[in-house]
Parts: sequence; C-alpha cells; structure tokens
Amino acid sequence: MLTINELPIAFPHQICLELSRKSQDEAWASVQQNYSNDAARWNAYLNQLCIDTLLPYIQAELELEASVYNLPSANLASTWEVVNGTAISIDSTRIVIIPSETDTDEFCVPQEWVDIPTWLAPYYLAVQVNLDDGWLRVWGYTTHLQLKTKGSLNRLTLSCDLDRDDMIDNLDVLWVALETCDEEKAQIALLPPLSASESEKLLDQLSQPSPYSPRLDISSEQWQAFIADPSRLQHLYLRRTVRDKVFVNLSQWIQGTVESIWQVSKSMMNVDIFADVLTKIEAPSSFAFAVRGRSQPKSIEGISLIDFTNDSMQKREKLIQTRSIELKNLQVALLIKLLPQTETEMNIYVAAIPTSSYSHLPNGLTLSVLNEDGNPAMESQANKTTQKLLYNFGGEVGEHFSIKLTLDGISIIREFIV
Amino acid sequence: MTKEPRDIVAKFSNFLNVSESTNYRKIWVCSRRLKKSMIMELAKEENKSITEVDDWAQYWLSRALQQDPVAKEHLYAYLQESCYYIAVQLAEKFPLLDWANCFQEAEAILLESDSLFSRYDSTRSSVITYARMKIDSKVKEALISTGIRSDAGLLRWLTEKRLRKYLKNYGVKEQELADLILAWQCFQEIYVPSYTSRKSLLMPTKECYEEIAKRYNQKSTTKTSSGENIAEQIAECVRAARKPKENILRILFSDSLDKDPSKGNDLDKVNNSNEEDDLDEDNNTREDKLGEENDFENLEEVKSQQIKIRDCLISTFEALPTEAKLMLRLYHGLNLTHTDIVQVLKLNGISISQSTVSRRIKDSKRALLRELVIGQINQGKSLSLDMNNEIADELAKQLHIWLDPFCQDPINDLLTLRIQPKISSNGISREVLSFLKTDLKHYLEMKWQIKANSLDAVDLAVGKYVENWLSRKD
Repeated sequence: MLTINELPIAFPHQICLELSRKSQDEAWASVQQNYSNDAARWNAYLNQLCIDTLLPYIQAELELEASVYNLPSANLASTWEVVNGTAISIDSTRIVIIPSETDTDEFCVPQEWVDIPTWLAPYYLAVQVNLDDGWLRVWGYTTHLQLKTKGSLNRLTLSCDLDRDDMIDNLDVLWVALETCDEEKAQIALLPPLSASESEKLLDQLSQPSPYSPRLDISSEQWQAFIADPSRLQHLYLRRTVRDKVFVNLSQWIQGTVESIWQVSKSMMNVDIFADVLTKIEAPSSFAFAVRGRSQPKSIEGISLIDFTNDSMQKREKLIQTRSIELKNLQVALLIKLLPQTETEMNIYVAAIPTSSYSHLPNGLTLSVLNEDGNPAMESQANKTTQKLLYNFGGEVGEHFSIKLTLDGISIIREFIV
Repeated sequence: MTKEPRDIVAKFSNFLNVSESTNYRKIWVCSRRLKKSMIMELAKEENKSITEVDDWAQYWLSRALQQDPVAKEHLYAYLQESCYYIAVQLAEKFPLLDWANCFQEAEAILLESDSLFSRYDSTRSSVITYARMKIDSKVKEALISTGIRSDAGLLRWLTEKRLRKYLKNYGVKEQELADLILAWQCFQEIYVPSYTSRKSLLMPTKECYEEIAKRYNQKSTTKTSSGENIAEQIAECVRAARKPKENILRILFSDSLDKDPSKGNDLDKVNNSNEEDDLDEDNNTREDKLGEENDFENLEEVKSQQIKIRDCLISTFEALPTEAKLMLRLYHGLNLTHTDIVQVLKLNGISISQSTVSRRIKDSKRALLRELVIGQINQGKSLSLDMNNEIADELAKQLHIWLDPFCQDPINDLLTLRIQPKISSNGISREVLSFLKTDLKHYLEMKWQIKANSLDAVDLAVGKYVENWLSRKD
C-alpha cells in the first residue's frame, strides 16, 4: 500500500492530491439540501469534492485557467441529481471529469457524456477517489474518439466502458496535446426531437420518487433527448426535489407550446391598459440574432387569469367579508411576455392588468417576483388608482423564479422555469 | 553484439530460483523442457535469420499473442528476472510494499501477455524495455491500496470487469453470473455509505435489501428475488471476490515443481559461474539506446526516426536551465530523492524547497515532451502526418525510456572503467566499494560542474547506487 506522500513518486505522470478532512466536510455540507435521494447526494458529494480539489490545483500548479463549464446546465445540481460527471473548462477546452470510487481496471463514462451533442467533450479525465485513505488521483485520460471506437457500450448501466490499457496514463501528454493536437471527436447521430406531449409524459414518469436515478428507466434515446434540453433537465430536477410544485416552462413557450390556462383571451383584460403596457415593452432586439444570420424568433406572450376567489372556500368567505363592495374585482390578469435575446437568454416582462370591466387593479394588490431562494427581487403594491404593475428582467435558460400576487393576506404563487 | 546460441537458449529457458537468490548471489534453474524446445527452434531453417535476443523475444511474443502455451512459457522465462528486479526496487523505494506481494503481482501481470503487450510497438522499443515499463506501472496500480476492506467497501470498489473475472474463477456459470451481476448493479445503484462511518462500511440493512430486490425485480427478465435472496447473491459476490489468488508458478510448472525431487523433475540447477555474465541489467538497458543498430529490424526509416528523436531529446535537455539539468541528472541519474537533491543544491548555494524541486523536475520533463512533440509536428508537416494524442503518448514513452539511461550513462561508464582493474578472485571488497564511491563523487562533481564535496551530503545514496550497479554486474 502506498501513502499519500509516496503516490506522486510512484505515479509521477498522474495527479495525486490529498483530500483533507476539512475539504471532505465542506463538500458534504454543501450537498445536504438539494437532492431527492441518498444516491444522488453521494454522487454530488464526490463530484463536488473533485472540483473543489482539482480546479485549484490545475490553476496553481499548471498555471492554466480551470473552472466549471457553464453548459449544458448552469445548475450542477440538476445534473448530479441524475448522472455522474462534471464538465469543466481547462484553458478554454471542455473536459469531462468522471469521479469513481472503484478500481481502475476500466473507465466507465455514462453514455450521456458521449452521445448527447451538447454534453460531449474532446477529453475525459478518470478520477479515482479514495475516501478511506484521503486522496484522489487522476489516473488517466482519453478522447471522445477513443471512447467511441475502442470503448464498449454497457447496456445495463448505460455507460461507455474503456479498458485501462486503452487509456493514456500520462497527464503530461494531455497538457501538451491541449496545445498541439486537434480535438479528437467522433461523429455521433443527432438526437430525435421530443414532442411536447411525449415530453410531458416523460416528465411525469421521471419525477416519480425513487431511491436511485431514473436514467435507466426509459429507453436511452428518449432519456438523452429529454435531458439534452437544459430547461427540461432543470424542470425534472425541481420536480424531483421540490415535489409539490408545478412549474411553467418558458422555454417550451418559445418552442410554441403554451399551456391552455395561459391562453386566456385578450378580451378578458382591460384592453386600453393592455395596449398601454405593450407600448412600454421595448421593441425586441434583433441584433443578437442578426449576427448569427438567423431570423429572430417571435416574441411570445401568455395571459392567465388569477382568481383570488377560486382558491378555497375559506378564502372566498374571508374575501367576501372584507371586500363586500368590490366583490367582483377579485380577479387579475397576469401577462407574461418573452423576448428571446440569444439562444439561452430572454427578456421577460411581467404585468398585472385589471380585468375587462375594471379600470384599475384591486387596492392593496402586491405583485412580487421571487428569485430561486424565494426572496423577493422586485415588489410593489397597487393603491386605489393603480392601473398596472409592470416588471422587466432577464432570464437564462435553466433558471427559475416565481411570481406572487397577494391580496388581503391571500397569496397565489406561480412558479416558472426559464 | 551477437549472442552465442547457448546464451540465447539460457535466456528463454532459465529462470531465477527466487526464494533462494539474493541481490548478490543469484541461483538459476533451467527447465529441460523449455531448453529442448528452444534448441529445436534454433535449429529450424526458417529461424536461422533470428539472431538477436530481442528478435527471439519478438518471435515468442507474437506466438504467445496467438495463445501458444509454450511461447508463453518462453516469454515468462525471459522476463521473470525482470519481475524480480521490479519487485526488489519497488520494495526498496516504498517501505510499505511487501516484496513478495510485488513479485506475485508482477508474475500475474506478465502472464496476461495480451493485456501487457496490447499497445506494444515493436519498432519503437525492445520487448524487455517495454515489458519492464508496463509491469512496473501495473504492479504499482495493483498495490496502490491493499488495505483491509469491509465487505461492503470491497463490493463498492469492484468494477464490473473485475467482478466478472472473480465470478468466473469461482466457477459461476453463465446464467447465474448474469443474475449475480444484476444484483450487484442494483446494489451499486441504491446502497450509499453513511458519511460518518464511511471508513468501515456496514452491509445494507434489511430495508435496503428490500429496495434492491424491488429494483432487481423491475429489471430482471428471468427471476424474482426477495430481500433475502439479494442478500445471499451479494454475499456470493463477496465470497468470489475474496477467494485467494492462485499461485501462478504452480499452474505454469505444475508438472515439474510438485514432483518429489528424488523422482526427478524438469528443473536443473544451473552452474552459476561465468555462464551468467550476460544476464545483467546494464547490458539490457544499453541495448535499448535509441539509434543503435542491434535490436531493431533494419528499417532505415525507423532507425533515422529514432535517431532524430534522440537528437531532439539531447538538444532540448542541453538547452534546459543549468539548475533544471542538474536536478534531472541527480534524480534520474543517481536516483536521489527530492530531499537529497535539496541538500546537494544547498551546498551549491541554491536554497530551494523540496516541493519546488519536485515541481521543477515535472516542468522540465513536460518541456522535454513538448519540444519533442512540436519537433515531430514540424517534421511531419512535409509528410502531411498528423499529430494526435496516441502519437504524443508514444513519444512520451520514448522520452521515458530514454531519460534514465541518458542520465546514467556517464555514471555507468566511469564505474565500468574503474572496476576492471579491481576485480579479484575474491569478488568485490568493501575497500573497493569505498574507492569507487569516492571516485564517482569526484568525477560527477567535475562533470556536472557542482562544488567539490557537495555530493558528500548524499554519500549513502551514492553508495547505494554503486552497490546496486555492482550486484547487477555480478
């Protein structure tokens, strides 16, 4: 057996790093809240520990820029909830690291990282984590091409397995290759698109609670097509971890699928005020798309009726008591307008507008936009004469926020994923 | 250097009696069966052109890769001594490694010749050099953590590839094997260590086994298991994984070793005097100096490529900063530790920490590789050959093979020169050892341009180098 001090001498071409008790505890603490089962939490723990240990080392010792890669999902947790692996960027090259506590006679890469076009990378690092002895080591690396040509697909675990003899165990070769070699990637097939209804069905199925990842529960093609969309991955993550909420997926709106409750007719709103709101919304910027030579997708809007009387009998009684005069003014139209800026960003407008028979919003109505932590980022209240409440903010695919309308102590919340 | 037929026969049919040999006194035995086989092969008309040791090694290797059992045994005889040296060196370098474990592991690796030689390129290095490099790294991988594992820890550490191997060796048949693997996979999906007791894992609870069983039943097409069944299946996997490894030697030479010596067996003791002069380490490393004519097939292009690589490496090395060159020479030449190197540098007015020494050595080697790769790219441009990761890795191996001998050459040259007049019929005395050591220190201080007496700081290490060198000279 080799001690942590002997490892770098025994394996001078690998990266062998100590895992202090402190770093283990910190990584463990950081994964407590966010996962639906113990297996996912442990997976997140290993991956977090890896990046906490490896990235600073690469920056300091090799003097290369090293950080987490932003795509496919800005939220690492949504990936770790269902699959092992992390995409990082070293010197602007995308590299996938796969940590494992197993022996190193083979390298098993989950198929997602090999066959999803936006997930794959030119290089894959094999990281062995030894918690007992308190170290991790990068014992080898390989290319996408090598995985596809020499690796074998394990259909039971949906991983691409490569024999250690087919890996390169000298990390110096990688650092030199980053500088001197072209990226070696194999051609892969495009993923079949998923229809909105298929997508909904799968989301329901995959959100079911389980003590293991649902990645093996549907066909690999369907699974890859499903999670390839970052907003769907995020939605799945939220459904699995925050089980009692329903989210409206705004990326789906852009792709043309708006839920029927958001397709309320414009005639239900006070049309003058609605027109006024539209003038306040900036003309969409076509610049970002013109640069790419693409036509800009149209802006999309959704209108929903928020009915304070609909929620429950008790609430209704309460409301009737306090607002006997204005009985009917307990409905508000909520307008959401989306203006895509780039493929991953959109400009979002949220407006509360009175219904058609009214010229102003209910007195005391509060409209808030809450961020991911549930804290209000924007909030204001209507008085007797307020005609509209309007907010504008930018959102990136995968982010989530909520809109809260409060009237006389009754809150109605709608959850959204960008 | 052409070897006499008798020497070649010995190389492929003798092996070390490891339990009775020491570093200074080696006991050899000869397998009569292998000797006969070798003599027969030598006599064949079509083999007359095979003259060099490495050519024979290549010959037996290609037959071994076609699963010829006698070829495997010849290869084993040829490389078994290397396994011994690797084990001795590793045990010396890493005190917690057990010599016998290293040796047993090295033998096991050697016998899986398909895996060992899977990326061997005969135009790039000799069989023995390549084998030593690979066996050394594979033994270290195998022994990196041999601490006691709990059953659950062991199950989590297994890869599917390894578990399959263990189950097959345990005698498990195909269908049952598939069932056990599935049970183990479900275990891997669901069982999670407890953070606080992750150093001594407990087996799954009854509830956990039930969950695993549920999952198993979802996925199995052949049978359903209860929690209890799963527990039993998992236990079977543990038993298979814990079964002691078989003694390789027994399998190979089972018809010779077990027999009662009085009834006669296949093995003859080899007369250990003068016949063994060509079994030393140095000659073998010399044979691999890039560019020398003897060991490669006479392909002009390959030769000139090797020469270009060697020249590139030499010039890049010489272009390194003086301090870096010295560190590499001390590390790869004299086998000094980083701590030792710090001492020598201190005496030369250079104050540097151990981690800086380590870092500089790493950086220098990376720079050497980088120059080599870029040099190859520039050459390749005219031939429109591409550089890729595999070629770069091959170049890295060439660098690795070249570096030690390059740094050790001046040392070995001096020792060879000085030793000749000193050999007497009584062998090497302590005084001679001391003389050699002193002489070497002075010589190196002069050659490497470091302050006189600065190598006194590492007197012990220098002495060790000389001793090891002598033991291989025999």
